[in-house]
Amino acid sequence: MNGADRAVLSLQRRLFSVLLLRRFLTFLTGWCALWGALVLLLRRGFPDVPFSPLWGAAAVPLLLVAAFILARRERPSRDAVLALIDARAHCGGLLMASTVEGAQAWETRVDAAPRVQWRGRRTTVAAVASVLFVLAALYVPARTTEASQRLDVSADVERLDKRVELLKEEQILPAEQAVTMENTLDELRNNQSGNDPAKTWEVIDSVDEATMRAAEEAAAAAVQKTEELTRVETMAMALDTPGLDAMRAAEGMKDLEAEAKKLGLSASDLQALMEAAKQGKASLQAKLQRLADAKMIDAKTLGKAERAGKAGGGGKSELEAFLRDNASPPRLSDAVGQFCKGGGQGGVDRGRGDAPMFFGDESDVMAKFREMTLPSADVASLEQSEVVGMSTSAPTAEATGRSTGGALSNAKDGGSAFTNVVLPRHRGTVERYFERKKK
Amino acid sequence: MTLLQPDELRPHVERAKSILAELDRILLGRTDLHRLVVIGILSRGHLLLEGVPGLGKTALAKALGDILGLELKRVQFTPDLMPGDILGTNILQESERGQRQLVFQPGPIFTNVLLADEINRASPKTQSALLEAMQEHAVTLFGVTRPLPSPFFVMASQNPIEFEGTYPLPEAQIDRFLFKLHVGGVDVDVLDEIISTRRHGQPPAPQARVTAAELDGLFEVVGRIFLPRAVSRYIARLVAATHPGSGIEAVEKYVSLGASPRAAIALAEASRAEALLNGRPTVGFDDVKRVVPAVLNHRLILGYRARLDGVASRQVLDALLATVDETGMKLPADVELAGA
Repeated sequence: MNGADRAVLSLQRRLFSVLLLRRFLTFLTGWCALWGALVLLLRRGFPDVPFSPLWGAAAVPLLLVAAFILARRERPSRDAVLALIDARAHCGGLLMASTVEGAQAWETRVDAAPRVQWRGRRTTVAAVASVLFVLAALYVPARTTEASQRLDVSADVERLDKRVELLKEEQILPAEQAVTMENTLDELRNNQSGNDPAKTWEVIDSVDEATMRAAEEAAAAAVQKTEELTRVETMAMALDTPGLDAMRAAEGMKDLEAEAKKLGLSASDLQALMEAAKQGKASLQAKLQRLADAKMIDAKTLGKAERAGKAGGGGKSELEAFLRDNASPPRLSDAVGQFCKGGGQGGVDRGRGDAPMFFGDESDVMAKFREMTLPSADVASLEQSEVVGMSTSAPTAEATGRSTGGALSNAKDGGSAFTNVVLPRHRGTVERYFERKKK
Repeated sequence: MTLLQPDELRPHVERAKSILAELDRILLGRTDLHRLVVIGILSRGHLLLEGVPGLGKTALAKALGDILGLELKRVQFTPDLMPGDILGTNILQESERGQRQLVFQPGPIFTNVLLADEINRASPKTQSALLEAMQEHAVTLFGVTRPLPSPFFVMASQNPIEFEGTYPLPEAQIDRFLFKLHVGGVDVDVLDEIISTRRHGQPPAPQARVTAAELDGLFEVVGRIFLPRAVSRYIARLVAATHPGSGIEAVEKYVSLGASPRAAIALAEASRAEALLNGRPTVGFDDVKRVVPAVLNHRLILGYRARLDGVASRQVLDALLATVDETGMKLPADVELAGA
């Protein structure tokens, strides 16, 4: 092997090494960036992936193989390297012709092969940065499944379950609806995945709202029923009270007495009726109390029911006194109704449903708007003009500028209808042209 | 292919160098020009000499003809010169028997070296009469093709400053010239020597002459100079790079039409002759670079922008040589080779 062969071989090896390293670092950069991103994604999004993220390291030998193959392809051929050394050493083609017959007679001297320089700082920095990125990604802790994916709604479910149970016991909810709600709550209790917390909370809110609405409706019905029972009780008490002779004489009592006789209601029946009404009221009060204990109705509703149960005082003596003082109502039921209202229930409300609406200072239904003609807009007329001065000469136009007619230029010595305009982008060309002429 | 051996090559190299030395002795102060002229002759190419009057263009052609022992004919091209004045024509002659017949009277082109002085003063019709002669080394007249003597060279001259009454050479004809050489002035020392040693500027007679056989031997040796594949590819890439679209900024900006394949052939031939003068049996990259300006400078058709910027083809060629890599090795941009 002569000096030229050695130089060629040496340069080929150096070039191949540089190309291999360059390719490998490029691939490593790309792979590490991808690997790091995948590791981060898995750590944050899929912590339950069964395999270790270190599997990415297995690709490094593959990268090396790929870099080797590509570098081998990129490696210049022997002839190209020979030509390169010939050119650099100024051998005048003798080195390239070294394989031609008769070349041995010509001596060529190659001292050293050219040095291979690689400006690979950027590539190296990128590779190191990508490796550091992977290492950093490997140190990022995985998000735990139990802590993050469970949604603790057991307390709410328990609370709702008790409510549904109560509503079911009190027969407020229909059996089918209660079963549906219980199933929903069971499902919530068993599958608190937390993947979609909004949906879970939506279901809880829905059940909560349904139970509350059922409780409120039941409470309203109970209050109304209590009022009715109070009236029944009071009516029965009124019929059963012997001290109401004065009232019996009243005109309105005649129909009620007739009805009572027709039904065959004796004094004992009236006592039983009063007793039944009392028990009914007590039962309703107990139901409302349970609802209040379960915080399904507020204290106001409960108080309303209590007031409805006690309306009119409930005592015979008070009823007698009331009837005596209010003997004018023609019907006993109306008088009892007024008695049951008592002194009002307090608070601000909108009154009864059949109360007339009142809007304040209303106009008469048959009233008409009074027609009124608005004044017309002011027109600038001569009458309204103000004279500031008068002149005796003809008006003159102000000398603002001279008309150029068809000419584009208003130069003093006349313009032209067509003017060649040298655009800014042409100016340099024109200048260069005339400068060349001067030279 | 067998490489020329040193013993085989040496006498031819010495002979070529002796021609060069003789030219340098006869015409003073133009070593580079003489070298290119000799290269052009060894490559069997035609030469176009451009320079102001009085610089010795005609003297150069005469000296060359004397040294090479070749027949030289000079034609002063004028606007009224006709093709027949150069090529020859059939004339009516009476034979000894009294018969009249058309006899071909060869023109001055039937010579070894035709000195076409101020070639751009002839009309395009006359200029085009040279096309076949320069390319085919033959003349066709009235349907008869007559070969020209071998070797045949055209050495044309033109004046770059007087353009009135001239007809610029068309591209087809310019392309047929191997070299376009600029004949410049000489320095004070040379002028002093000319004045001192040359009475009336008369150049000395050549001391050594080359015989026809020796000249044929030189042509044969030039033909045997080995052109490595890498060098031929370099020539091809150089010529291809002269065309717009090659990506070289100077070419893109200033060149409207690049060199022809004939330019590549001319480059290869001239490089061979250059290698011979350098005493080598092979063509190197440096040989190509030395002849590139002379071969390509008249083959690049520059655009108007070159005129505006005052850019000559030489500057474009310098950029070309600086850009096109000899080996064409496509290394990545961040990998470089340094030193040798």
